[in-house]
Amino acid sequence: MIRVQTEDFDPGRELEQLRYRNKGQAGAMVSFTGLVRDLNAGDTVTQMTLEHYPGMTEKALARIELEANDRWELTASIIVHRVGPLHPDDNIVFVAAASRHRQQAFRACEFMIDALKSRAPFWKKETLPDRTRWVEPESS
Amino acid sequence: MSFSKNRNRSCASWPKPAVSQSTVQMIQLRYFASLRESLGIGAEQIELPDGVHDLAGLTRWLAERGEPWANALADKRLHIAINQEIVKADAGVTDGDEIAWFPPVTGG
Repeated sequence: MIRVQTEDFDPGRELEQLRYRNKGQAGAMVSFTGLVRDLNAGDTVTQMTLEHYPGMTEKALARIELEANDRWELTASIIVHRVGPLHPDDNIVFVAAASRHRQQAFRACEFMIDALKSRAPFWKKETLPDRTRWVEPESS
Repeated sequence: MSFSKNRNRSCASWPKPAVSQSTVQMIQLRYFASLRESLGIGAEQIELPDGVHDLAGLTRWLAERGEPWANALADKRLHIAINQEIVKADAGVTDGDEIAWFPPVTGG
């Protein structure tokens, strides 16, 4: 399941829903929650605006989730990503994988967030006290 | 995997135009993030220029608009997607395509 949304999400509630979707088959759930930091490259960040490519973003996320399910035996998985203006300590992204065994869930969760960061069309723009700037990609 | 919105559409049931005429070939262009800001535009629909059959030709045609196009589109780090799939710089361009240019992604 993938979702792109402006509204906030509750990681605990997302995990509960993932747990329900497992129908009792999972032995492990691993999740990652990405948050807006108040500091980046030594500068105070007051706002972070997420731009995306509607349509392509959903396709990219769906493909990443499909690849994770092809590579590991998952009982359920989810990717949620927010767009629009966000503030320090806000949730940005939630990725979770459930499996019969923890190794599969750990690896699938890490794969999905890493793939998302390098392949899904999202762009972050930071508002600093005196200016704005586009976030540079992490060196791969 | 690439697809065109128009390519798979069945024309069998469409009424034929009374007079045969060459249809205008349109493409949709999209620009995101810092590139969108540099160009001052996020999307536009244009006629597929005469003689343009691939991305290289389309980029040349856009660069001929002058600045800020020539400089902004010369950025080697830009990614290009056709119909929402990442493509290489030599990909072909046809009627109905949606072509997007954007800087490296920074989500997550």
